[in-house]
Amino acid sequence: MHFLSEFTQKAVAEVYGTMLGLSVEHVRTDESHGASSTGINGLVSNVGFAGRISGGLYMNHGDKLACDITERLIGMRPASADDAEVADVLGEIANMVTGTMKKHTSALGYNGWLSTPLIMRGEQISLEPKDATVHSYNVFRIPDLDAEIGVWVFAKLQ
Amino acid sequence: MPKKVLSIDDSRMVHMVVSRALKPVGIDVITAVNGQEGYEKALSEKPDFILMDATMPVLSGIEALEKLKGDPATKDIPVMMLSADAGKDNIDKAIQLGAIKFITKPFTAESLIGEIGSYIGLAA
Repeated sequence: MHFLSEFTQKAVAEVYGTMLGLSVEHVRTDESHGASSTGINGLVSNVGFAGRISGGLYMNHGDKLACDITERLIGMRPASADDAEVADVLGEIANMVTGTMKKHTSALGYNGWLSTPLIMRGEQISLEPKDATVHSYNVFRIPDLDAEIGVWVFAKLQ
Repeated sequence: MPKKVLSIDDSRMVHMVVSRALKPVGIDVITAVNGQEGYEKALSEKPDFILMDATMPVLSGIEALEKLKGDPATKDIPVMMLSADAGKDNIDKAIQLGAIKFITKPFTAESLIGEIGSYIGLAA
């Protein structure tokens, strides 16, 4: 398993456990190029990174899960997944997951910078990186919310 | 008079989580969404403590820290950095500029109260 997959798993568990009090179960990892990166529905939050590792992390939450998490964090149920609060929460979670991964990659000498988060919402979204050398896709299950999260990391290492 | 904490972060979620943690222990929380607004609110509101993200639009946390510590009107306000981007470069720079501590997200309400409380004299 590539170290970016391992660090993704650690980071997702830490962020969901600490900020949301939710346990997260790792379901599977796929590191083949193009793995399950089409037909994505709901919200995709992205944080880019640059430096000795450049690329991006993409997290997919379905609409209901996005609203559940937002309610859990801010104490109010959003009217819909289009609410600004939902994008804000998902962006900050992606930011924390990427930042936590960076702590681990920095220890290996891969330091760098993070972008501010970007949130997209749609149906049948495809993620098709053309020049990333590392493709990492991890699926997680949140038993308490009966939902899954998909996390992609596409990267180039120098 | 209640202590006043200025939370500077581009995430409203962080403001809400910080407010939910600090208000029950009697701390007023005021907010700003980027480093420039944070600097201006520090001048106008005179907070007892500043909690600031590192990565923000308009003026980053590191740039805002430099302005705060370079201004006689704000240089004595304790500033704690709270950021997901805890690279060594960021931490070293923040401490060098005068931040009292750099804590990383994710964080718990208890850890936040503990960290801030020790600087503004909250009872343990």
